[in-house]
Amino acid sequence: MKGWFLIGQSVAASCDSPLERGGGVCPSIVQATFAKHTPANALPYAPPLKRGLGTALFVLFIALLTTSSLYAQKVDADLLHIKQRMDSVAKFTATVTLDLDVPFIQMPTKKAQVSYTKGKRMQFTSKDFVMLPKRGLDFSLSEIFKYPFITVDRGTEKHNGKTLKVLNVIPTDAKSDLVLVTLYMDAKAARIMESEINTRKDGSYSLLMQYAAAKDILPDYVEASFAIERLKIPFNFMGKDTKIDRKKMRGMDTKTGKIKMKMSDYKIALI
Amino acid sequence: MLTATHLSKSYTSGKALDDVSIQMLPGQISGLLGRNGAGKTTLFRILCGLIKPDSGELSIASHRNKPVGGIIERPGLYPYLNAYDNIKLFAGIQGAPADRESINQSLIKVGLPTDRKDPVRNFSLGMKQRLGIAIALLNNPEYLVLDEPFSGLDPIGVTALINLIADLAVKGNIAILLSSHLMGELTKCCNYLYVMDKGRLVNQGTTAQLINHHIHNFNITAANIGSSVVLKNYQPVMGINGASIVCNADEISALLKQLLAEGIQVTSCTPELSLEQLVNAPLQS
Amino acid sequence: MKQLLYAELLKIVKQSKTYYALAAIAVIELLIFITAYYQGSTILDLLLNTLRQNFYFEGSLLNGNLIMYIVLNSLWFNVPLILMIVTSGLLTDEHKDGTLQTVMLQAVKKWKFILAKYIMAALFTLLVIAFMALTTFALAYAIFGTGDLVVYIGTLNFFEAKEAFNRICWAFASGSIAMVFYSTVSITLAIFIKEASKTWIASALFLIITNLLLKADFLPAALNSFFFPKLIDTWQQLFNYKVDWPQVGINNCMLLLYSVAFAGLGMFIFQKKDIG
Repeated sequence: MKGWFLIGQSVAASCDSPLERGGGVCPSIVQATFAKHTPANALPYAPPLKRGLGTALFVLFIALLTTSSLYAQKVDADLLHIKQRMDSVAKFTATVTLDLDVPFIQMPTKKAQVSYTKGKRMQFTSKDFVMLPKRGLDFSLSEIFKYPFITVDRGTEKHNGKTLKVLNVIPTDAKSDLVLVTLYMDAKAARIMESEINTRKDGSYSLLMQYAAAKDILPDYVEASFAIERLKIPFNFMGKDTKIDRKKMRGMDTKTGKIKMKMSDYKIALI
Repeated sequence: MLTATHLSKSYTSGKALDDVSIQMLPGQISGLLGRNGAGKTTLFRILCGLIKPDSGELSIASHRNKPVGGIIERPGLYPYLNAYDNIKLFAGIQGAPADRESINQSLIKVGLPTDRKDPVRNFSLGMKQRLGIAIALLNNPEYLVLDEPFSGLDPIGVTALINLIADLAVKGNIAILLSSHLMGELTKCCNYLYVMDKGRLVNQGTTAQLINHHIHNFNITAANIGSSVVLKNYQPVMGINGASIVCNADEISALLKQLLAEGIQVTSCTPELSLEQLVNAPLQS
Repeated sequence: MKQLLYAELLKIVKQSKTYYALAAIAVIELLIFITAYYQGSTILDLLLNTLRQNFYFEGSLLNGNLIMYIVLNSLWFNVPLILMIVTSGLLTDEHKDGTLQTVMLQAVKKWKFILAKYIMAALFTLLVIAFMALTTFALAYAIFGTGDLVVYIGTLNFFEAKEAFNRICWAFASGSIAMVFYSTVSITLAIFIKEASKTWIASALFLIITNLLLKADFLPAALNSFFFPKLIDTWQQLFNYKVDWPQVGINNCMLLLYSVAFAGLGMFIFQKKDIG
């Protein structure tokens, strides 16, 4: 039933459920696609001979639905659990200490105040000039959950001595900014440890999170890494440049930049 | 006494001074006659210590901080400062008295007003010359050297300056050396004359000696000069109010007596002496 | 000596030329302010364009510190040119007015006279830089306020407000030594050339060549750091993220030595030369 495979062959190949082995449907797809549909809506009126066939199909459908729900629940439970934990945070404020590690940029450690209210963007305020990453501050996973998506379980990987569950999240709506997100979750502690995010227009970046205590849902350290293009500076501006290291600059076409954020003085308001 | 002996100076363009010896005596005004380019300015520069001669000796009998004062070519003044500030500045830099009283004295000495506050660039040439002399006299030098002080002055200005110079020599007992290419002025005020041409001293002597020896022409001014008979013997060239005649210096006084006897109303008698005459016919000393 | 210095001071104060020069510098500063006010943000956007892909900015970089940094950049050419014209005039005017001869006709030692000119030139230079610094500090902070400074020297360097202010102060101090060097050279040139407009041309040429040689590397590395054009940009080294303070100190000492050397040469020639 190839029609059900909404995304290409690669996704289907990685789907590892018993139903699938017989050439059946990937349960997660069913779960996401049917989220908004009821069985009654799905079946149109049909003539008697076709009705018999239709009823059989209907029964098959329900069976599939039931069995798929079971499987869907098992794979996405962790992500859902984390999402629920995130959702419990109505708002929070914290002090962010920002350290920029970008080639060709030297900036001292900066402090800013961050405040977050559920449903709204994060707000930053600072006395000084601060450079804040466009991406990587989305703790609540709201960006991921904005549009419908499918997930693919990639098993587990060991990072820094911890076993992390790897999950691919693929938005299915073309309106989504995200193309592919890989989440590395600590299932036991129910939180995201790392993520690799590929966006449509704003490049790719990865996040690394560290948490102070086992129960914390919000990280105390976030490291965002991203690809940064060669710095284009109009050379006749800002004074005479003594030595522009051309060799260094040429080899610098696309490199990795990092921004390290330490969060402290959390004031969290839960729902 | 200031004595310069056998001074010589050469430049790439040629010899400016060739074996020149002069003297300056206190209270005496000496004149240096010569055409433009005769070497007068070069000599003056050496006397003032601005340049060194190639050979020869300069000896100055003076223990003062500033033995020789002078003006070379033109008085160098700060055009944006007034007379008072100019004197104050030049006095201050050499440790001469620069208080209000002394500065006013300097101004009065040369006949300049003490209350004029506008910058020197507004001064007439005559006033600039006076100020230049005031500055040259700062720190009480015993010798004063003035290079072409009358150039650009009108006759009244010249007369005033001559009077000033004569006054300084007598009252201050300063030895003064003037230079000019104008005969009349020098003969009026100088006791001794030197004549230079092409870097060499070609003639010298007291003014009286040089005049007596070299003057052969006179200008006589008289309203009725035309009616003189005696004058016809002296190749007169008649003018409107007077005549120019050929006459030796030792004969002129006799001629004047004759003219007066004729009833000619002589108002002046001026010797005509040209530089050429002095240059070309040296004094037999 | 004190009297000679006082005389030089009197001349500077009484000449209208001095005030023209100060006015010129004030006009330059004013132009910088006006340009920055109307175009500053556009230029900054251009500079930070590449970063906008990954970052958004909080706070303004168009502040008094940036304005001060731009004003400092007039130490490359504009300010030294004006200074060299005024300080060379200290001597060329005396030639022109004949006052040099008058001074030499007084009981004044030649070397003392010219030394007083060098000293007064240096003092005047320092005064002008102080004037520039104080007026721009006052206006820049009053109009644009304070904030972080961004500077591009090899890398894009960001400095916090207080750090930026300190560095700017030190930069003015270091820059003033470079300016004293230029003033000294202008008087030495005046001793050789004597005539005003020719000396200006020579001064401008010296300035241009020094700036060109700053970028060129003709000499072996060991000598390179001692070659005086390489020392002129010392004030800018104060905006490297990590300042090499010993190097800055050495460079400035060397510049002072070069100034003394040029002054010494000038005095030697002046002493030897005939006047007029």
